[in-house]
Amino acid sequence: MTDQRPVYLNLFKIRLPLPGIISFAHRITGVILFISLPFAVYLLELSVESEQSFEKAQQILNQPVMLFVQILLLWSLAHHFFAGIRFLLIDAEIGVEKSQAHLGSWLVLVAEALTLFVITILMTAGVSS
Amino acid sequence: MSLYVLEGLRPWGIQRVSAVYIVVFILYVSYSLLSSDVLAYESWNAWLYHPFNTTMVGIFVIALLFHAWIGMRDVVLDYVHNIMLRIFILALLVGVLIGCGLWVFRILLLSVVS
Amino acid sequence: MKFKIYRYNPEKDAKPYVQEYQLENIESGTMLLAALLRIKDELDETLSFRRSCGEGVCGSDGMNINGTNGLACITSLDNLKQPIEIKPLPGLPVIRDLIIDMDQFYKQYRAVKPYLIVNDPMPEVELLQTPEQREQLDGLYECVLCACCSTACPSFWWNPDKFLGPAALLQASRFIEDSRDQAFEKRLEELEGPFKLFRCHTIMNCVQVCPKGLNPTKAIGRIKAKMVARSL
Repeated sequence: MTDQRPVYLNLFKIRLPLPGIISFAHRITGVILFISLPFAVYLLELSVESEQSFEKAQQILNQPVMLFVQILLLWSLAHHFFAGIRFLLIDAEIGVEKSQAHLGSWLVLVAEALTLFVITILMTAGVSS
Repeated sequence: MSLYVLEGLRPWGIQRVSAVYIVVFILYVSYSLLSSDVLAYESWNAWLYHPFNTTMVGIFVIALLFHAWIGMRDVVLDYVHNIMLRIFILALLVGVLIGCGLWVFRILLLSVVS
Repeated sequence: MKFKIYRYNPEKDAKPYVQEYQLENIESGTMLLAALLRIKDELDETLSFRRSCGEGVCGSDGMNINGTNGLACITSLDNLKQPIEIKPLPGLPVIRDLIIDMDQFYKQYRAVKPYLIVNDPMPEVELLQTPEQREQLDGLYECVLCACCSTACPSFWWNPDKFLGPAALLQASRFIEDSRDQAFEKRLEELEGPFKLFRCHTIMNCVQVCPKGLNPTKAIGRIKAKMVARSL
């Protein structure tokens, strides 16, 4: 009987507060960045081998599909970066109080949104010039 | 379990220390990208193979490998409970990370030699 | 007022299900526990849940209310969106309806040795503390062991047998911070390893749900800081 007891764990019904969402996204983005590592190293190799391979690396990145990948990776990096800084601050007892947890999480979201916005502007400016 | 290498406190500490270096490194690279036109072959190579920058990148790679290892290890320890599968995935992660690390160091050292 | 409540009777049901109840004439300011007691009295005497003091001191009526863990006796119906969905605390085996098996939770509590360890001969009267030393225990000793925090913690869901969980770790901190305790080193040593304490990823769900307003994340952080200081 004991072994057959049900366990309630419906993740769609259990509310995850904003700090929890930030933390979960930190994990997801970390895994995405890990998966991108071999490709990043491959691009690094292309970028130093010769002038031709450097151009090839640029061509790969300029493919339309790659735009989506680039946005995904930029967001991953931005989120992992700012959420990571928040975690470091929490370790230092900054923003660890309940009243500060939501504010800190919002600051992470604002910072990453701003970063993506600025990078997009810089990149479009770079393309058009 | 030898593959959990370094137990609890030490990986946690290494995770934080490497994170701090990575933050500094990302800020430095962002500054370099903004202040010069490294998006061309010549200037990019000049930037990368400036001894200071090569050192920065080298330390970054080591910090990143540790950081990624501990992070991915934590993901596996949280979700994968079958011991054999867990050991297999952890070993695979170590392989991928060391492979990537050696590859980058080859890239960094090759032109130091040439 | 409409309620959707998780039901499971091991003698009759193969699987848990959700049952709806309707209550009328509920005054503003009524607590959820009062409504559950009315359902039991007026509509369905088979509905089972734990409760004792009814005022947030005993910690018996922890449950998942509209997705968030809390004590039914101090959760006002005024602030709850309808239909009010009541589930047992997540991640622990359900004995019946809203009653969960707390064995695992108590095992973890026991594992941190939640009592003073004193090696010196006991003094004649009592172990004294200065007001400052006593202050160190504020925010730690108030825990009522309702399990709202641990059962809101994803790390606890994935490794309930290896990770001690926020409630037990808060208690570990309560004795690590106590000036009268003499097992400081040993307590820190016993929390080493990848699982017991270090599954905590400062997700802070525990802090969001604690009905006593305690902060296990901060307490765990202080333990980590003491471990770092000790290792240097």
